[in-house]
Amino acid sequence: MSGDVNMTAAKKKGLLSPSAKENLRIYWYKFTRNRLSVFGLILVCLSLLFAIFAKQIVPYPEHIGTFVDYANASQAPSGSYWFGTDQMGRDVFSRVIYCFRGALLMSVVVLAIAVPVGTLLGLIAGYYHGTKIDTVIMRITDVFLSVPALILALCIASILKPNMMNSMLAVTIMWWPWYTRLVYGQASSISGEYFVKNAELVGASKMHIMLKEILPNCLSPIFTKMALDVGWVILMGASLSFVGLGEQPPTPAFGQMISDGASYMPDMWWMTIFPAVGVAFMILGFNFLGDGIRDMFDKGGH
Amino acid sequence: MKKGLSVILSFAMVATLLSGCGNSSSGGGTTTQAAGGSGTEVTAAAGGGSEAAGGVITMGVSGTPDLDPAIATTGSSCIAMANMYDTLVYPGKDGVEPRVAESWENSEDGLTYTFHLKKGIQFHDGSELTASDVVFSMNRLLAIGEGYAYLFTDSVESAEATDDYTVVFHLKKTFGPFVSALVRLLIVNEDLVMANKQDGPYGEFGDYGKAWLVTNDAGSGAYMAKELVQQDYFLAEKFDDWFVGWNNQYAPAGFKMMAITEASTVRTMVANKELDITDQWQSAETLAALEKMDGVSIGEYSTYLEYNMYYNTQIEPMDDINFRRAISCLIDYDTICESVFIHSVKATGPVPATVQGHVDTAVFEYNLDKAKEYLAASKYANNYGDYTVEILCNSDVADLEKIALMIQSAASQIGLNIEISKAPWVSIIDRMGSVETTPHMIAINSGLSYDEAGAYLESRYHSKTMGTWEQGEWLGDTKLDGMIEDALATVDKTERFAKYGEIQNYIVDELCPTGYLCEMTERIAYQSSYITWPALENVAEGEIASALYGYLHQFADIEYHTEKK
Amino acid sequence: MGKFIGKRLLLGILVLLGTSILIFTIARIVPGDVATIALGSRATDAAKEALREELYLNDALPVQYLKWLGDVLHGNFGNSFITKRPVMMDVKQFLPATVELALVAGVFMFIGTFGLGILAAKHKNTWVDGLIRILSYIGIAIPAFVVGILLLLLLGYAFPVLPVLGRLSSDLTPPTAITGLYILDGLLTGNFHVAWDAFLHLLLPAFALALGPIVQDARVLRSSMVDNSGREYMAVSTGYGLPPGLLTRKYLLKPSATSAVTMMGMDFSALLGQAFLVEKIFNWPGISRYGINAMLNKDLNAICAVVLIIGLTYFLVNLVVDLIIAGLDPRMRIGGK
Repeated sequence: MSGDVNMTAAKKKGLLSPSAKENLRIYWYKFTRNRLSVFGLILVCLSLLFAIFAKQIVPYPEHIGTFVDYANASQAPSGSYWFGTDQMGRDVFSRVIYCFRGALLMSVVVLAIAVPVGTLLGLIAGYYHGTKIDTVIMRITDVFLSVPALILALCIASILKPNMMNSMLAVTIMWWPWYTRLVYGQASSISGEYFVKNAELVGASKMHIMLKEILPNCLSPIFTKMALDVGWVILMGASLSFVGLGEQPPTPAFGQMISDGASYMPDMWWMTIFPAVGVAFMILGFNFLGDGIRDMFDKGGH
Repeated sequence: MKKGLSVILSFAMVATLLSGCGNSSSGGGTTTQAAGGSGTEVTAAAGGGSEAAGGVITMGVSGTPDLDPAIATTGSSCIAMANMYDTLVYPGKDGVEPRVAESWENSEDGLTYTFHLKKGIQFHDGSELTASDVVFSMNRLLAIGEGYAYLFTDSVESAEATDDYTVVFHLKKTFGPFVSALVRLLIVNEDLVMANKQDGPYGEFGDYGKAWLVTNDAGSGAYMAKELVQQDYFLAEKFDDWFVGWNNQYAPAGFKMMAITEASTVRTMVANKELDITDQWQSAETLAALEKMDGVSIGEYSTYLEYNMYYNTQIEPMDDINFRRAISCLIDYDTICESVFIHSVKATGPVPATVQGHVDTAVFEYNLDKAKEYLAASKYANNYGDYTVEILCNSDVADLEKIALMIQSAASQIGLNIEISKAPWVSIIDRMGSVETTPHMIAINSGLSYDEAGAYLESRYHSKTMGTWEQGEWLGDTKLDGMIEDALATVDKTERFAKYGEIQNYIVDELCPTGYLCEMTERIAYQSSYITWPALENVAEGEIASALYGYLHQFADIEYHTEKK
Repeated sequence: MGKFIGKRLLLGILVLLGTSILIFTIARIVPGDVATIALGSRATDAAKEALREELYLNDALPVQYLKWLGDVLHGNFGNSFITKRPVMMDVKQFLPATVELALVAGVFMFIGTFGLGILAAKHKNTWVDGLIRILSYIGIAIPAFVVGILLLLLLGYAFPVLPVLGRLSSDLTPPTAITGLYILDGLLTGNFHVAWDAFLHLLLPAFALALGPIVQDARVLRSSMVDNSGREYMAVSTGYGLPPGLLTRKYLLKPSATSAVTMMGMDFSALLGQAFLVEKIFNWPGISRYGINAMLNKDLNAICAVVLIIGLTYFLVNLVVDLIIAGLDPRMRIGGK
């Protein structure tokens, strides 16, 4: 996200650059040319709609809250229950739709913190490749990476109160080092390139070099990983539920639904498959959109 | 291309480095092999000769057992113990029956118990079980102070062997259920244990053989330990010279306890006949699927587990008895027995009905109107909406969440806020350590150490268990403590049981500290086409086999027809 | 080169020290009285006190750490509360199983990532690319343990064609332990039947573990390759008339592989810690399951030992990854700056 801001800023300063408004129009044109990106945008918008208006659009809003109906437990998909019911008689469709809220919030918050932090540290370490700064940052990253994520989450879980905020915190803490490591690899190889040297000779500030010379060249893998990570973050919820973190019952979450349903496979397949489809829906949306945005800047930027 | 190859070569390097790492860590130290590192051949090769028919019966457990009799308390450990060790007395229908002891008597004041042992009982190594082994076992249990030691630490002064076949226990104070509690004194082979002792904190006894007993047995029971691979499986084989004798010619030649809990794993193994008996923690849905398979039946039994919803009686708003009564009316007991813990029995008081000394009490029914009445009578009648009551669930047990949801849903109908949270067992133990952090409600099932109501009442409601997972109520009721102590100190059985009855009524009527969710019926699937399990099959219609944990899994009584497999 | 590795080894020790401080501290500030958890709430006070003494729990935290470190440097990681024997014995039992699993999963990851990544980049924006993309989304939407359960039910239960549980069929005895890896040991001792059986047992769990990383890393590789293919030097090289195969391998794949290799290295070391659920499903007696059990039971000595062992593996894998990257990218050559 920080990438497009920088780009636009860079363009503004240029002499023959189009105005910001024209720029947007060019981008929009390029974006809409790619049908998959538009499809992605639609999926993401739908996810957003689900997240905001879940209670208004699902057939059984009460099934999201305090509700138990053993008479209708574990029913296969039918006209009245499109995705069937779970072991407590709750409508899987309503619950899947409601999951979008937590899933969007979680992935946006986690990535919004982990990606900038991880990227910045990776940039710094990569730019100062081979110096003490590199060593310190990367060794700390290594320490965090070398502790298995689930064990780290378990520790955090037992120290903190189990709620959504703390779950996000736990996931964020184990997420940022991945970006640091990823960006570091790219940044340190680019930092030796001629255009970086040029900028140094010209006397550009280190900040400028890192953010405007090196960062744009790391964006592609970051974007790819980010779009894919949306899915991973959502599924982390399943592991967290082992230690009582994540959404607290009865609020549904994709990860928990999938892992709970897994023990009822294959007879009650709908309890696992439909939440998984929900996750796939979101991931698909973010990936198409992510790819679209990246292509748009790639061709527009150079 | 050369560089392409280098990539592959580098990857091969990762492999070499890693395997080197595995190598160095498995090569250092002892010479045991890496995978079966803990597997140890038991030296006592008694019996031998022709193997009876019958293969190795395999059962699923949630974790491999502890083999040290002074430590073992977990479910799988109790099963292993019941099959590998003998005790002075054996749990029977009404109280205890003689086992290693032939007879016993106690002094008038109830402070001295004398046991006369049977002669010619052999340990697995062929040596004879004598009175000094019993004394050693008691001293070892008390010195180590773990497992079931707590049953005896307060009462037993000393044990002595007056001759090879007579043991005398001297008590510090009277302890009515002493003989019943002796089912937890597993007799270990003194010479064998001491021959394998290492340095340790117990003076001349070294480590009391603790390290050795982790993977070995020193018992005289029907089966003897063959191999323990931690967190994987435990294998035991038949002991031909078992003193009780082998009337059952189809008894399995050995038993294997495998640590598997995952539903899909269990299902696959049962389908392939790799697993003969499942553990009792399978969901109702998994069991229903297993039952549909050819030759698989569901077995039901009770090990005197009662699921209790602990109410923290010291924090608002649970500190009001009418509020607690209202909560008790919000629990749908019938649905729990029908849909959550299937075929479980409605509880009729703090002690399961099949336990000796139980009395029926005036427990609550699911009734929202009644709940409203109680709520109106409580001191929170006007402001209960301001409180949020927490139900804490063990994150390992999915069924507890179902019950919590049911209560939450009922509570919301009368305007009461309930919040559900989940935590792993370690965090639960910690939260129950102090009164402020103990949740308003938490469902826990507690087992029974010996077959008498007193065992339950003491561990659940006496002040000495406050702050442990056994009591989340924080009653601290001195009157109740006195009543429990008095009952346990009563030697006369009829008198003692009358006192148990009073206590149970007092708890329900005057304190209402707990919601009695159900007496749990444990359900397992087993391969009934080639297994005959008398303990489960010979019960009358509508009844459920019940015994202390482990004693229903007496493999010596089970018929294992390999020829039908 | 030697100097570089020497320096990295030194730094590695530093990282391990950091890891040990981190895990030691958090494991001990996690609430809960260890003695009560380990010995049961009804254990005598003397027994509990003895255990606290053994774990130095009565000392201040830094003192505890130093005493513990002292023991560790003498090769003594203490006893596990669960298995009640030295932790190192447990590690010896459980680590090789997971390493073997991770290695096979690593091979799958390597083949899968490069295979799919290159294929997708070569056929950029065609149906092949699209199909691989869809596959990758499916791979991410379904977590490893669900893939595991599906594979188990499909190939072990519905169509039992592959052995699915444990490391070896129960009628076979494990080969003499040389490395602890059954396949390797089987081959080394000439016990090909056992090696083959062990390999079959590995297929499903390894595939379940590798699937997620494969599809993700393949996407990363593909996007780097597509990026680089648009660069000027590629156009120039094409202009020189270099054969397309050589072009792809030498000028496109090599610089593009950096990110993917980094990710694969990280995924690979993460496997050791994250294989928990897959190990549980396939009844695989591995270190990950052991570590999580230790954590859930607050088995202090075991947690620290497991984390350190995994940390060590992580370090070694990353050392190799850095060497590979240095080989791939001249700008990263050692001492380049």
